[in-house]
Amino acid sequence: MGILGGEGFSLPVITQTEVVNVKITVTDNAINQMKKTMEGDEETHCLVISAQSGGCSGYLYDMKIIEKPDSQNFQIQEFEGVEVFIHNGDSSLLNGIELDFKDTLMGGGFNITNPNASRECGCGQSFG
Amino acid sequence: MLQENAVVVNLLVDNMVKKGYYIHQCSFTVAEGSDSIEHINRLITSNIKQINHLQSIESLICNANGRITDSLEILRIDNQILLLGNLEASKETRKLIVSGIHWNEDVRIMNGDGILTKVSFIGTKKDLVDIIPVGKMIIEDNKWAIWGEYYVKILDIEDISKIDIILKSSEIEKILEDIPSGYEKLEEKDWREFRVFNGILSFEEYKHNLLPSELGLDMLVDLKKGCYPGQEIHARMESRGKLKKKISRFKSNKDIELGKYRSKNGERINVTTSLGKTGFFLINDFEDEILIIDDIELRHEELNSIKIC
Repeated sequence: MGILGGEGFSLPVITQTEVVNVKITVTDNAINQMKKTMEGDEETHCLVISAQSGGCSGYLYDMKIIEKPDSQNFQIQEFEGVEVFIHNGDSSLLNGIELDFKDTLMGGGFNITNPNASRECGCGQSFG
Repeated sequence: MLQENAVVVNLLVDNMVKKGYYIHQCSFTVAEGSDSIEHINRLITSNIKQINHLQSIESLICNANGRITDSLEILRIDNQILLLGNLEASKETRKLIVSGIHWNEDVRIMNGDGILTKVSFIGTKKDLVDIIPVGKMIIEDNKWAIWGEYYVKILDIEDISKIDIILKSSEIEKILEDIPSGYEKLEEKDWREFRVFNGILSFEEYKHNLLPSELGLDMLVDLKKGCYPGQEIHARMESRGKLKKKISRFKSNKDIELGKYRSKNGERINVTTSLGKTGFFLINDFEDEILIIDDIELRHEELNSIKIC
């Protein structure tokens, strides 16, 4: 039984409606690193960049290489054969980001610069 | 039969006996889906990962500066999570909850405003036990119980008990019709008196851009659960252990209005809640028990226990 149960009792579902056309920038270093990581799976796999609630500043970045999802809810941009997917639900949070890769021992790895963020936490994983 | 079950209590405030009930101005948000607990847990100051059926956990939502933006009572009912928040903050809270759902997570958020209602009945423990079956139910701390189509919880505050009932808004007239005559609906003013008298905080205090520790709500902050908005600030506050201001209750010889004051000895005072001669105020460290502002004498009263409503 759900909240307060009963037949014919349901609550309206809230959905996020703001969807914008996403345009992101990926640096050469990041493209090279994505290719290296995907090891020739570019045909079947993609990089998904997303945001979720949490972290010190409100939202956390998430990046995953997965099989290309069969969904109409993603916007796709291609960078030298590597496809980057961003979900419509994250479009307003991630539009305009720049993805970079730093090959350093300290603080290295992928790094996102987000023009929508009014603040970011020290580790760079959280923004708000 | 409802007549036998009617929730009828006496309200004790400042030794005055009143009969009544209060209909809260709450917001109701429901989260469902296999990832809903994980999702909500990332946003709040307490840890709800192990929450059980009919258990409720109080928590706060803070901004990145660690300031409280909303308080929540989080109740798990089977696979759904009911979030009871402050109506004034509901728009921002829901926006935060909905915008942060990960694309690959199973979470649905629903709006229960206007469809669900929370009513509180307040009285002596004896009244409640004698009058309603809920009083005879064994309800553990922070546990709700199912009473017909209602969810109920009892909270004891010294000599006074409070029964909260969550029900469909369409049922409210039905439950009130069967209450014997002479029992009043408590207005906002009455409820505020009850809140101040019993140290129960609400949005009236949160809206002053405060940290949990400034309101004595540290017990709702779990610094071991991992990151959540505001966590960095809360951790820093704990390690430094120094508060600029703290909430207290006051009693004064004359009416005092909301606002910021400076006492004769220079203490900064912010009256957040005023019922005239009593209310809540925020105050910096001070030594004197009585604070003087012009011709008003304010007597400071430490809050023994602080709750959220």
